[in-house]
Amino acid sequence: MQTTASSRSKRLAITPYLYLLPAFVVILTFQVLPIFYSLFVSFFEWDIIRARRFVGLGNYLDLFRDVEFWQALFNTTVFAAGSVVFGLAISLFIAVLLSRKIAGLNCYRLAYFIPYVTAMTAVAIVWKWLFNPQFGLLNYLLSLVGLPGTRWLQDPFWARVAVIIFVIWKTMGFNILIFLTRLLDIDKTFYEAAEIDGAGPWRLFRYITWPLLGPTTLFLLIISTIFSFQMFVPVYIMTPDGGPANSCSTMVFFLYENAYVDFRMGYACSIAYVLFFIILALTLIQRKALGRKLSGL
Amino acid sequence: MSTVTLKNVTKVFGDSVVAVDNVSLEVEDGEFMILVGPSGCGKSTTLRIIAGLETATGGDIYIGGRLVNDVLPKDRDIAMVFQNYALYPHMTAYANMAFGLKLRGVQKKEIDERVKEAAEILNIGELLDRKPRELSGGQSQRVAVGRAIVRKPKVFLFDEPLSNLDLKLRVQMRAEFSKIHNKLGATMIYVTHDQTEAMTMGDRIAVMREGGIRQLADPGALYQSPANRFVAQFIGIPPMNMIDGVIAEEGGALLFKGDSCRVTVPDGKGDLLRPFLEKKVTMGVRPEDVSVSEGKGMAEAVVDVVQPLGPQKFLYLKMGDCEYTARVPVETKARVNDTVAIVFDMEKVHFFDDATDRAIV
Ligand SMILES: Nc1ncnc2c1ncn2[C@@H]1O[C@H](COP(=O)(O)OP(=O)(O)OP(=O)(O)O)[C@@H](O)[C@H]1O
Ligand SMILES: [Mg+2]
Repeated sequence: MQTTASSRSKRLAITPYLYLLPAFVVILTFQVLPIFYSLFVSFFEWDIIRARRFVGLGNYLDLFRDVEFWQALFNTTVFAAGSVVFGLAISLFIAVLLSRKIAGLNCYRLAYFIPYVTAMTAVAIVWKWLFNPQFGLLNYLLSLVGLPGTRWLQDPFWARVAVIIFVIWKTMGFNILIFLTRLLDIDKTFYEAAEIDGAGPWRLFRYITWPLLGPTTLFLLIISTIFSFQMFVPVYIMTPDGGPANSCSTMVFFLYENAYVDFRMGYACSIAYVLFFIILALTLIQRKALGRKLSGL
Repeated sequence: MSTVTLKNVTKVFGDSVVAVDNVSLEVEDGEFMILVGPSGCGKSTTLRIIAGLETATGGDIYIGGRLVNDVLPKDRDIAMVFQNYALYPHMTAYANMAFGLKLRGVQKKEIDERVKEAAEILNIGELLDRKPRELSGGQSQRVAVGRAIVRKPKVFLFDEPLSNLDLKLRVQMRAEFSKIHNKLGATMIYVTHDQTEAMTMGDRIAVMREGGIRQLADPGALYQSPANRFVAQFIGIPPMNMIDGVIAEEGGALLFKGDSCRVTVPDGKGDLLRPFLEKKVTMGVRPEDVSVSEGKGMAEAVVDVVQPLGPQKFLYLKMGDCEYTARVPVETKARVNDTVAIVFDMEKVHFFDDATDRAIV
């Protein structure tokens, strides 16, 4: 009798895990295993068709001697810095405006949020048209206000600017939403007290809003940095050849080309790992540097 | 130091919420003025209009004789202590107190002196390095007062600064507020819904209701001669007993005929009451003006509840459907369910006109 009972309870104990199994198998197969498998592959030379050849750290050493890698890293850093700094600044500005009680607030909020929920590929194609030097809307609008247009995606400098503008436009809605939520959460008596203490609009922002937003800004800074270091789709759609003078080739773009154009799988995996450590390091640095400042909140 | 004058100040929120209704008030230089009244009567709104945090819909505000309707809060030379203290959470107590001076470009050395001085007055010297979240309610409250003191403003505004504290601390802080007021000699306007706070601290008290001031008087006058039924019932714990009735005449003497009692109106009050002959009035009697005896009185009542309270007792009495409260010496022998005779001290009773709710005498 006892054995039956215990085997039954054992079976019961297994049941929940059985429910979890399908999801677990999927995650394991498509997420966890590839992580380790790609680390493994990064030590080989492999074109998928022929047998792998172990090269040790060879791929990594090659990478550090590869001009295109440094170019991609530089481009990625430019995109990240541009889109994160300007993106967060603009988002914060708009969020502060939206946190005032203005008419049609919800319409504005929706308008800013829509880009975030649209499909990246689709809107990237649209923006590619907008940036078209001859028929693009952007140059047309510039001409209306008397400004000269530019060869957006054909010029190394403007191509980067174009990509950054697009990324800011695409991600702004999320940043605004997060900023706005926190802004509306700040007790308005802080502002009243500071107003009586002698602060005007700028000092209210400088001494009350900005410090109280600290943790939110740090959070968005980390999230946006991680996101922008993985940038691929915008440049792949708008500048499929890596942009003029390779100015838009990002790390992931470089990885993609190595993996699926040149079939250098080992090399591509080593890029992935270098990128991973760069992002990890950046996140830790940001948290260390800013986290201490914010520890009072 | 400075006077504060409100002239016909009105504030309407939206189209129809009249928060402050034609309020005129003169606060003298160095006065401790209390605005008291039930929730929603417009006390905070009045204070915020003085601070410049709200714009009056109508009327004029003067601080120190200067019209300040269009002056920004920071230029009105006022300091305000908020109900929730509103201490800046990211600054230490010291920085909180120094903030206003820093913004005004006061020298570091002087800021330090003033903060230390205020800290001494408020006994918060050891707390200066703490952030607000490391302070208890009472400590936060002191820091908030300190933030106001260091500015040395003309006028202090307080919006229920003690309402988040426990009773004991509240009683202690009341005394401290009075001390601070004496020490600084500044004009202070203090909002509260707690009448005990009002009575113990104020030089003068403005009792507000539905956006208007119902009576403005010093605590003694407010208690002894309330101007209307509302003030009579709002001030005093337990509240004044109110007895409905009419004024009648019998054999040349004026009588008050209540539901369960008939009393002769004393001569002193007769002249003022005569015009109300045969009219409905309410007689108000403070609990301490009701005495009970075993002999014959003006009416008979049954003791419902006895509450001993130190040197005295509260008796809750039932007379028919009416309930009265009496404040009697602790030696009084009445027990629950006893029938006692009650006597009103007729020299001290109040009469209110039912038609207007105003005090007659
Ligand atoms: N910003 C506002 N918008 C609309 N109505 C308001 C606003 N502020 C106050 N009121 C209304 O004005 C009236 C007076 O409010 P106020 O805050 O002055 O009352 P109070 O006497 O301070 O009450 P309490 O003791 O509850 O603090 C209330 O009816 C309130 O609902
Ligand atoms: Mg209030």
